[in-house]
Amino acid sequence: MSIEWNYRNAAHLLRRAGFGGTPEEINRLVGLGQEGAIDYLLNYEKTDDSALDGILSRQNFDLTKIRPAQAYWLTRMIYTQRPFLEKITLFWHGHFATSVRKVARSEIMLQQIDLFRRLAVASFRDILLEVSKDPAMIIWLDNFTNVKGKPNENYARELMELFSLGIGNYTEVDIREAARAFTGWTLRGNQFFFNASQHDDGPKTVFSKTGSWNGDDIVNIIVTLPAASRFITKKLFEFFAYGDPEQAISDDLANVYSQSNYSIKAIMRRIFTMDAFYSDKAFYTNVKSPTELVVSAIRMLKGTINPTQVANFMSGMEQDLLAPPTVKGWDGGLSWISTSNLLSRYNFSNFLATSRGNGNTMPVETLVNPAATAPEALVDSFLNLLGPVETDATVKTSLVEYLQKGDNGSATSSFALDAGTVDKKVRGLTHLIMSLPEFQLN
Amino acid sequence: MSEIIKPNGNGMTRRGFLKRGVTFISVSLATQYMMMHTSTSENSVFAAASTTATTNNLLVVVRLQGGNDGLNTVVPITDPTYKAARPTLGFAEKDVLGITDKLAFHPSMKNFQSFFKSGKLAVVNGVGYPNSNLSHFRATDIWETAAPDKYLSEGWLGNFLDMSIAQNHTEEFKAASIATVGVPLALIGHKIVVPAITTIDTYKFQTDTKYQGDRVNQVNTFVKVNQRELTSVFQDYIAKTGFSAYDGAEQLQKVVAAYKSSVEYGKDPFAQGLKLIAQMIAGSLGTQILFISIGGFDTHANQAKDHETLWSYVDGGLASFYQDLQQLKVADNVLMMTYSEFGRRVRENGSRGTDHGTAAPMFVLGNKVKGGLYSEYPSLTNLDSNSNLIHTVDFRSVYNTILEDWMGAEAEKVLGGKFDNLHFLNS
Repeated sequence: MSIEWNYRNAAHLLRRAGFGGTPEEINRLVGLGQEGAIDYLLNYEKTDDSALDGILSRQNFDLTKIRPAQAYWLTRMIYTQRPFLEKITLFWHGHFATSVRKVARSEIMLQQIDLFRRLAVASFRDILLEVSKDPAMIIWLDNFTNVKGKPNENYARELMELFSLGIGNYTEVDIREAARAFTGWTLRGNQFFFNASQHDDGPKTVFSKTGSWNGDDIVNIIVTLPAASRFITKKLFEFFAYGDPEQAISDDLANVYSQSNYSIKAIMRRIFTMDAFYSDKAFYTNVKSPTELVVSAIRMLKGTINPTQVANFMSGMEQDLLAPPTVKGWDGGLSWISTSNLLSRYNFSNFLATSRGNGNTMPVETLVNPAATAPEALVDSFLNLLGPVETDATVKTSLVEYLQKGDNGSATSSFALDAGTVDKKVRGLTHLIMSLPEFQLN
Repeated sequence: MSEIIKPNGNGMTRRGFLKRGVTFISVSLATQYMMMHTSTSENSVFAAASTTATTNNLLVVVRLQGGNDGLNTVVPITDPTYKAARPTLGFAEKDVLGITDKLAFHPSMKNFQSFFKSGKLAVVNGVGYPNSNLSHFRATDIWETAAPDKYLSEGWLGNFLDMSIAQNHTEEFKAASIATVGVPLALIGHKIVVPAITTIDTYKFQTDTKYQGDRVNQVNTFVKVNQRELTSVFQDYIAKTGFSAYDGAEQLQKVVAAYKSSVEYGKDPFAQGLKLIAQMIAGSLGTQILFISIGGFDTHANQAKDHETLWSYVDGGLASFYQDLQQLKVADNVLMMTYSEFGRRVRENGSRGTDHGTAAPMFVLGNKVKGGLYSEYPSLTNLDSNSNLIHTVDFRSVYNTILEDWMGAEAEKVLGGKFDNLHFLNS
């Protein structure tokens, strides 16, 4: 390890492994040291999260409806003390992108999200085994219609193409044969059911191995393939670090995958330990997803915001949790940026920054550092609070000038940080920082 | 500000470059930016297939969200099976508005009746597709992608835009989605990203309403920081798109302020959305497709009152809108089309409501419409295995007719297949 463990790196780790945090939270990670900070995030089960359970039970969401179901998950992300758990759950949701648009029942979708949460850092083998039996997945990719003599290839194809191997690493024969192995994997009620009478137990040849395979056998064969060791590790690295990893990184992560019995926790530990993770290629090079944007902003500003309203704003930014657009998940990156999506981002920012009670609050008074009340110091302090956001002198000067402007652009002689100025200008400053191009990046 | 190059003007839009990467997330931002600038090769495929629509014709698509009860919209009023199947929801002959001796409009549809009488309304009966899907989401996707058998990520109007608009178009509002949160799948394509305008009141760079005097300070600061020369390509892209968002919203607000129609619109969101559409048309923003949605048609219980209110909104809203178009002298260039993701079950349920069904009527309205009834009314006795109506015409035939005869498009390419022309438009 050759990086210096400092505030900037700790903040980066918390933004990527979680949803960012307050300066106190970042300083805590600094104090733990790099290894301690990574342990804290990855060994999340050691962190007490009972306060979250209390918040969730008081909210009493109607999980059969999509908006409250989204609000439920957002509440978890906003208030959890285990941010990495929710972040990687979000990764799995995008990876195994299943949508309520077809599954139709949001509580069955949440059951799948619970699966991701339960197996978040387990062996990739176990994750694939359970996802293959997950009711939402069985509906989403039609496996309930996959029966002996009339196989439906949908699940077998996406299992290989999108979930485990990637295009080019299997043949059509592998798909056809694997589909037969998943015949009879269906539902009874809302639970997985193995219908033996619809299962084809004849011999199948998948990846040159012949046997009377069932779905578990297919997963067990797939996870041992070299392509599997590269596919999921690359996707994890790209979600948490940056795109197009160097060959040495890919090789290293593939090796960790194979040596650790496919342990996601081991892979994540390696990623967060790499110097590359803290390099310029990684810093501020991911466009925040709407989920990251709203959750991190609320966490950093200690806001209390009605999560249903947050979900509504997120629709305007075009990320509906539990309803990814296709089985490929969200495209991410600059695809999040369009004119009306950006307006929704700016207007969410304004909404949060100007929340003054009645269920929605941004406690602006508590965010002002008493030691930073001059305009320049105030701007620096809020740039730090909101990321930190790294920006240039033009922005800082513009923000200082903003603070000093009177109504309708009039000049003011002096700047005094009284309660009225805090309520007007510091809220305005918060909105403006959140509307910077720099703020859209993680 | 006018010299700022809008991202849309450069074709630097997001969906066009997406389709090349299976997992777009995997590509670094710098690479993404490169891809956006080298997107011409893909777009040239579209150019080669360009349908180059040459008309000024404008299409307004009205989505009735939730599954409109077709049987109580165009009512088979003399059919005894209708009366038997609808003991509480069935209309009496004296209440409905006559079309023919056998069919009548819902009592709320008085303007539809006048449009029909004056020959401006085509009623296409029994519209659907084989093996109709009864899930709201999936059925909506099917209607919006024009693909019952495939899961597609582009919509039929998105396909049309991809094939017809110029690479260097500069209109921010070439197409727009009104009264929706997010963009409907129908409008998703590769070349442009259609803005979604939930309401005109919120479609602006909002600032603290408590301190109106501070707005100009916030706006000036926002504009200044988003007009920086940024060396980071992705920050630069976000800043330019951000400025376009602000600028487009200002343009829209000006257009809205500039056209004050004397026509009275209802206070409901649908009528207000149509008013915005009229203002956009009056503002000559170069718009070609406008999409508007009205929800609430999922009437499983106590349908009568809700359905009546909804149709009074649709009927009243479109009547005001049409009147406005006449005053603007653009009515000849505007065509309206309604659709819903499905109709409802023939037999009412035990809650004075109706469950998800299949075929239902579509309406096409405008001065260039050959008014009348199209396609057979579906049989109420010969039903499918779910006791639902069997469609008599494919919805893609309606799209096909509009694409060919109104939009000047190569419909077969847009829809990915050959469909009938129903000839409800004068050429």
